[in-house]
Amino acid sequence: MKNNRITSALIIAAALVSSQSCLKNQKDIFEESSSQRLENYLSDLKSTLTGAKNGWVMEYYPGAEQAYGGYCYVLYFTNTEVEAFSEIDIENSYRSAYKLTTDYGPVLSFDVHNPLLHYFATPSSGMYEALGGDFEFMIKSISSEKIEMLGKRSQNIYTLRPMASDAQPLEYVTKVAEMSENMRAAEFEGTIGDQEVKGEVDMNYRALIFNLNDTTQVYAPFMYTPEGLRTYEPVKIGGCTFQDLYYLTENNIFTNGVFTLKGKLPEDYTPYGEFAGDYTFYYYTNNSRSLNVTLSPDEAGTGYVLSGLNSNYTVRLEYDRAKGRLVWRSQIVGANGNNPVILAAWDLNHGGSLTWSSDAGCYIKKNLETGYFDFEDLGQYEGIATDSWILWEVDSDMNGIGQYYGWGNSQIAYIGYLKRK
Amino acid sequence: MKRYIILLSAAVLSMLAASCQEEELNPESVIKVTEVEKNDFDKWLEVNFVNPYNIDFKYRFELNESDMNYYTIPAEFDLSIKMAHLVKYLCVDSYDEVAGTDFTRSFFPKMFFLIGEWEYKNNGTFILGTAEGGKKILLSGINYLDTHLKAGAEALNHYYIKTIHHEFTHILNQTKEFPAEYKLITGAGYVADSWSEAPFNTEYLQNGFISAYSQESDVEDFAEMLSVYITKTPEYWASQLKLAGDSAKYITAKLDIVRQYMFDNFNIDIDVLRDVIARRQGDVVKGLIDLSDITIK
Repeated sequence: MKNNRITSALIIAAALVSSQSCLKNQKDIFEESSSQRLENYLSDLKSTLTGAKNGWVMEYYPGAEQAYGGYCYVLYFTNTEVEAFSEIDIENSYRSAYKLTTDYGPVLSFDVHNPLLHYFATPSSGMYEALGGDFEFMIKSISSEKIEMLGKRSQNIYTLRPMASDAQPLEYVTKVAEMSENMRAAEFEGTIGDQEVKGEVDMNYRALIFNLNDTTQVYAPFMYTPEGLRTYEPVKIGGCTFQDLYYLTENNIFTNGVFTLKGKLPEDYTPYGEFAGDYTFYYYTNNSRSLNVTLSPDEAGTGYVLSGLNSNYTVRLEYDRAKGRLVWRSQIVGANGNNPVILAAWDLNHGGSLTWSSDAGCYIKKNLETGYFDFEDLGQYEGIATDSWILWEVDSDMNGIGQYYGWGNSQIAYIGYLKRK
Repeated sequence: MKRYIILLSAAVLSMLAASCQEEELNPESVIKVTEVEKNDFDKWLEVNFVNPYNIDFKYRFELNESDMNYYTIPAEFDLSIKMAHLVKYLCVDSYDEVAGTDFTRSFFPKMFFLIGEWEYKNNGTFILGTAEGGKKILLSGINYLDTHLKAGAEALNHYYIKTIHHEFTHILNQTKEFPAEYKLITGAGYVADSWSEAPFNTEYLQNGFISAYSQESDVEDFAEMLSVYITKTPEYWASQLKLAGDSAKYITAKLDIVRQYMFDNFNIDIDVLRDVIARRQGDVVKGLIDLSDITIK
């Protein structure tokens, strides 16, 4: 009986406890369902995207941790399409469809191919992760002044800012491209607030490196702007915070109006025009072999042509404006039937590995002691320190076939230096 | 006891009372489907793929359809249109012609998903296409379609169309199993992933296989036998048998089973199928088919 009472009491207690929920007034925090709110958000996004009459400037940072620095895009949205402009192609714009969807929250997806918008996301045999670029973005915030998005792959922030009303997109991206061509400050120094700084501009990977003292370094990925450059995040040094720097080409200085950094050229800097001429090309370690070669400026005025290595081909060299050096990369120099023949970077000192990746190759730079031009590995391709060159045949899918003997000597082993005649 | 029942009833009642606040159900579904405005190609697909065959031809990138193990990009719009024509003219219509529309409706994969690039692995090799659960076929490398189209039937088959026939064979096999004796013919020759390595990548014919990939497993072998047979010329097949030498008998024995299987289960004569596909390939290569036309007839 006692047990029964206890049970009864327990049941009543349980009933009372559960009846409480009846009194509780459960109001929805939001008036609409989550999916409805998401839909409203996307509708806001669409009207904001299409509402910017002059389009948007997109700050595009591919790669984890902004590994490649930033690139400038200009985007115009209509209801169904986006038209893209970019500094990577200043002659064309491309239109393609886009989609606003909800797979990871609110998402903007460029879901039909566009040569510009998918440039940094396009993989290849040599780069299966591509350059880590994004084409699907989670929306973080929307306003008519700024849209912030998170790249799904890179987890970088991609920012859209409205274009100024008087700017033309092609003109804008051309100015940005010109800025990247013209900047000659490979190194810089100056004082920011109360802090003396020396630093470097990594033109290949688009980053500013501030050396504050022997141990402290600030690394700031940046993109070029028509006026100079803009860092990925605001940089704090010596009590100053800055993100935009103007670059004054004629004085080679950076400034934000408060402080000034003086750009410098490296000591071994060679102006573009000074490479032209005839040279003796010494190779094979002890310099027992040589060739007569010529360096001639190319038509575009952006690089050089190296001739004389072999009558069957010439080599294209880029000019690195920041460092004042020529860049000799692995490249296709001809064909055997349908098969490309590549002059490939070769590492004889470490066992003879070779690659036809255009990341591999060497600089041609002034030796201050001898006055000759030396060769130095680019340091951009892991595992190969270029000290030699070799002709290599590949098939149309760029799979290696073997050393190519069709033009006689196929090897330039242990390259030494170029001596002006 | 009675009191006990009263107490219980009270408890139940008060529990029920917890739901006393009646809430009206929202007539609107909380599940929202992303609406994308239909373009002319979408309308063409509806008439040529969705309505007659219930095939969803997805040419726009979707995260959920893609394999997140690979970095890839969307397919080009114009090339997607060409690919849709090729799938229809070379595959769907071929099976319609040989086995009837009901066959195609019942067995042909219900979804195609297009991506612009190949699925590259970190060793530099890449995947041409995959099939999932007998329903979906992934076609990769669409952005290279023009190049391979120009190169002719062989390239077109190698990169795209043979893949569809190959994957479709898997779907047929999942519907009707092929005889167990098939795998006994060259049972010792299946080497799994080593098929792409020496000596297997060059000596497959002598080992009784029609392609290097055939050596992966009996299932892949079966799909390779059929897809190679129907996309290649009789001359090619004869030349391969000649190269196979003594082992030609294994290939022929396996082909007999494939032939019988297709005939018994699906009433398809693979020689007729091969002729139909060859004729249609010829039409495409000669440029007789307008691959960009999306007017609805």
